[in-house]
Amino acid sequence: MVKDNSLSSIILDIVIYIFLILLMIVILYPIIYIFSVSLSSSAAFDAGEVWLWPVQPNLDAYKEIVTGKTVPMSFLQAVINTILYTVLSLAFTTTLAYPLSRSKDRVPFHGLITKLVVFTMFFSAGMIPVYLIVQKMHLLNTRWALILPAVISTYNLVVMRSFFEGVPVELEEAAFIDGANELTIFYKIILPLSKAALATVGLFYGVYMWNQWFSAMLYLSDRVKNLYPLQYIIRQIVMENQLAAEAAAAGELNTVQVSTASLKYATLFISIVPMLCVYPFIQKYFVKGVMVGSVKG
Amino acid sequence: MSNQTKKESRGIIGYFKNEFSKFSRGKFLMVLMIPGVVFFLLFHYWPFYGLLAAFKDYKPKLGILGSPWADQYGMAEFIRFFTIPDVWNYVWNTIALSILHILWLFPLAILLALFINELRSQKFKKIVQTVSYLPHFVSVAAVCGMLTLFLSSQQTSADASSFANEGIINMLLLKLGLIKQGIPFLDRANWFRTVYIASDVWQSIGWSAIVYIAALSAVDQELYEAATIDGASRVQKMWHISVQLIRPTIVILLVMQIGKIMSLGADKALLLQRPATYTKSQILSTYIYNQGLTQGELSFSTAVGLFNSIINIILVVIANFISNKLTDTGLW
Amino acid sequence: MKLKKIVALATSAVMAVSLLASCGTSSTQGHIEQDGRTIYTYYLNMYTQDSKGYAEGQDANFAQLIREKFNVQLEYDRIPRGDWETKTNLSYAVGNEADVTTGGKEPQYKKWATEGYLAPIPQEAYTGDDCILKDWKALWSEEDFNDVLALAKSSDGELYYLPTLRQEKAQMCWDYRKDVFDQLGIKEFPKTIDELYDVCAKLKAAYPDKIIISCNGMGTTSPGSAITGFFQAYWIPELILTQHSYVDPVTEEYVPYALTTDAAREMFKTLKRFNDAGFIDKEIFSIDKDTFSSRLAQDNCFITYNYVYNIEDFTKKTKGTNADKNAEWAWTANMVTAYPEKGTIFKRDPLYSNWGPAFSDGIQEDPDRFNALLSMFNWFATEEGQLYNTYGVKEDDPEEIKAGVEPGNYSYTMVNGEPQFNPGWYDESNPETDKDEDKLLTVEYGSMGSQFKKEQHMFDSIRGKDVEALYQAFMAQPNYYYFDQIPMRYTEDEEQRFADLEIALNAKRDEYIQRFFTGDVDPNNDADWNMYISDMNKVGLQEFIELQKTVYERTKAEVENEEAELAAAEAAADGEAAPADAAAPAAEAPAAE
Repeated sequence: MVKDNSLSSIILDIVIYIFLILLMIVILYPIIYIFSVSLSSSAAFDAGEVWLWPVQPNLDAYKEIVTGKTVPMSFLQAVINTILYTVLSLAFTTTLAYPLSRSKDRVPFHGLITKLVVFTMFFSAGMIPVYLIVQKMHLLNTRWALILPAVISTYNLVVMRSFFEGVPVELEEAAFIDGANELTIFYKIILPLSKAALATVGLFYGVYMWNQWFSAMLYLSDRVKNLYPLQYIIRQIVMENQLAAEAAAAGELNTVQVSTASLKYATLFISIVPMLCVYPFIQKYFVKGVMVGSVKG
Repeated sequence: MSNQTKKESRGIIGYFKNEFSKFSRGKFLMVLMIPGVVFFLLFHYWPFYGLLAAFKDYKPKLGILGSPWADQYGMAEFIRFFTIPDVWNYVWNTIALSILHILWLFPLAILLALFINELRSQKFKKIVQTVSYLPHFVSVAAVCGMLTLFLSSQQTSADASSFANEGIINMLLLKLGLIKQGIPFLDRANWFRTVYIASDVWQSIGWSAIVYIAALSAVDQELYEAATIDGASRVQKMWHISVQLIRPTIVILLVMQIGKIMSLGADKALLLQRPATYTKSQILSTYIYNQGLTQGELSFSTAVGLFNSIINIILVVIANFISNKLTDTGLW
Repeated sequence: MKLKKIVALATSAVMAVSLLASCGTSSTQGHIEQDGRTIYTYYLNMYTQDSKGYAEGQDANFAQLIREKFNVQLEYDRIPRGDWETKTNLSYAVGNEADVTTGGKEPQYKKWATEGYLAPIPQEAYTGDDCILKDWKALWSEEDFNDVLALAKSSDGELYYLPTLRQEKAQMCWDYRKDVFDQLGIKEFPKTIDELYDVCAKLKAAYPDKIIISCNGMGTTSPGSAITGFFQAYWIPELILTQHSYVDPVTEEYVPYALTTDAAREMFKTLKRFNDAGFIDKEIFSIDKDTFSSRLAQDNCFITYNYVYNIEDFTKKTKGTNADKNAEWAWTANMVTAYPEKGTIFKRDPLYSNWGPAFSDGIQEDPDRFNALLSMFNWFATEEGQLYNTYGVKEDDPEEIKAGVEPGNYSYTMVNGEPQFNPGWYDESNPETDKDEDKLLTVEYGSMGSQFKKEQHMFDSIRGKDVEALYQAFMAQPNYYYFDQIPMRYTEDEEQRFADLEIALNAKRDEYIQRFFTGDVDPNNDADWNMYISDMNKVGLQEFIELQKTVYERTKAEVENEEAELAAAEAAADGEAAPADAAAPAAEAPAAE
């Protein structure tokens, strides 16, 4: 890139840096706060002494989580679900998005399918009919109930389609003339050229599954509690406070075990960490010119 | 098929003929689409019969199809919905929050992506991206918990000896002398939307920027170099090259977002709302939730869902039409 | 090629995982034949507060016991509180509901009943001395039992769930920082609103930067639940936020909507006066438990309206990091009243708790299957059953109860006629062992009969004896009154209209409760007060009042009728044993077999 050292460029740099640094502070403060509370003693938290760094630091909360059964198991389940779901979803999405990104003249029922697909983004039958179908297919209490009903997200499909639209048709035409069949074109040309798209949409899918708790609540029951994913467990922990209060308000014998603040925040932090590790891998594909470079090569 | 229908449906037959004529070339693409199409038929179109519940007096034992039609020519649930006291206020609150969300988050996310794209230091770039997308993984309940903590206030006045009873935000504002008295943000109806949107931006700005960052990474570097040679400044390049190139992405995401205006979820509003802010914070989904209707009364909740969908689809059709006219890009 | 590798790897991962993901649900036929006997099987939706504290499998001894004794086998689905509404309602809506549900609430049960989801308890099961549910019935005195029925029945006069005895008393009282009161020379907790104001003023003068009155986060029902102590000062029932109406215990006047009356206005004025003086936590309506802990640790609360057994915890929290800090919470049986000449209101413990078992409609198809279950619940209500559910197994229990327990591994012993846990079985008071694994009892025995525990000793050992002491103290106070619960039975249409109006009214009411408090609108100002009333009228207050009146009058008549009938039926049932009783109109009584 040609260096630009004009005044306007320097001002732009200053603006950018100030904006980004301010943003980083605002974003990081609560994250650091979560981390600090997770390491502080509960008494210190109650006394209002924790506001940035840990007070009376200890690892008790993390020890309790690691030695407990629920969190490690649900962590594992969340990882399995996420990997499985991401792979399947990417397969389903690319195979549908690619034909829909091509010319209308080449693909049978192109217009019809596009409209039908987009329609589902705004109209849905609601929770119960879908539940009935999951039940009919004997998916209740299995991990497939979390995965299959959501295997394609229309939103991601549309994003994927517009990425594919960016791949020049000339490339395919050239390959076609060279005697490559459609399969080879899709597999050898389109997919490798769309790594950034695959990475982005894959990330979307993975994160969706990682954050998912509602379908776990709907489709899984206590009988298969080993299948509970992490976010479902986290939700229960985060909500304990409110639940305990409701139980008390209703005059029940209150046996809700309210976790200490540090335990709560430690669990939260543990759910964030994997995302810290995943992003650099994804980022690799966002490097400038990846696609253009390979087009040329 | 009888002769009569054949005559009448010439157009349809013609359509099928036309589509099948594409078959020889599109055979592979057709096969490729099968799993995806099957998914949509199975999990989206099969359940659609469930929409009938909106017009029925649903009894689980009889099933959706077997249940009797609702009173008032099947419109009983809709009438019930429109006679909810204050319902239009809830509709308006929903729309207002959704629109504010779009107005703030879209430009800010794009700005972030553009700024990140301009960064020369690769290391800083990586850090910014990673950090900015982290909040997306903090659960909404936890975000709201922290907000309550940070925004809390006993309305301590600025000349008090200690600000210990104020949350960190009020403490900061008081120390800087910006306010005369702590503001109980969450108890003030006029602050509700600000708090809601600001925390939305906090949570989603980095995440929303990813699509644009990815799209920007596909921009041909030669374009920038050519523009530099032509003497374009960096701001000009940002506007004329970067923004123009991600414009289709922006438009499509915007149209999709407009299609969600009525479907604003209840989670966060429920956690942030206080009775004192109901005039601004009660949205359709929280109302439905508070009434405990979502789970119990299938007919009513389906009717509400249907109403939302209709509004959504009207808005999307308009938005798509406009974007097709103006930018030549659209969802369909 | 790299991509190929990834795809291959992914595919194999998918295969492996799909093998792992097995599904293991079995379908229920209602009963199984085993060793020449019929064992009835049931799905059981059970409400759980805590997802951690129960055993992996089903309770071995318990399962064996109920199978041998009642031919009952249960398959559990424990549902955490946060998911309860969604999951139970969903299961009814899609038709795969459990046979039995324990842990719902009366309003929920009544709603399900009007939807036709539930089976009514057959009247003959609780009529007469020799009915299936005779021990359950005997949990109350005859008179109380009639009141329970009146309250718990639905609008069609049928009973759709089994109310149970309260596990422990749950009245609230004022808790206060005794050390601070002592230090300022305040001898006694105030008895009237004006005295309370003076005490608060004294505290505020001594600690100008501190909050005087706070609350420990009463959930999301309504913000008003944080100030129920003030309600009662103005002769408004503590439960008014959900009940809306009451009958005045002195004048016996029926008030269909309490929070728009003059008494309510006086209360709002008082709250505002307290708030303007800086006595009350500005965030009292939204505070949660964590924040309240912080309040305590930072000496930011000296008075709170709360449960009596929380005081130890409050003291501990107040000391926080500093064990030597001088802090002592105490409770008082002095309630505060605004009308000292009329008397003082306290909340009496309800007659029954309303989260007992309910039975799904389908269970009626096989009366034997239904009866097997009813006899089991009836046994839970016997002395033996209660002891078992509460304490587990002791050495000299009958063989059928001990079966399946390793000899020597008994959970309790009777010491001087009082049950005592054996070492290691249950010890919540000892902080060193305050861990889940020490609470073996709920894990091993009768976790499902928890609704039928009435043993006070157990709560004494967990909570201390203060709960009982408070009750006695309240009862000993002169001129103290409480509100009776009033039966209200809504028909299906009324119920729906009630629900629609209630939510709208609640929202407006809550909005104004908070706005009156913050001073945004002023209850002293007639224009503001009229605005409140007119806003309430706009969302249907008048219609609601009419509805409440109608239902109240009708239910009252119904209940009187039923009681007469029931008395007649009882007499007829007794009459079978003693045919000499000719006065009973036997023709009207349902056939008691």
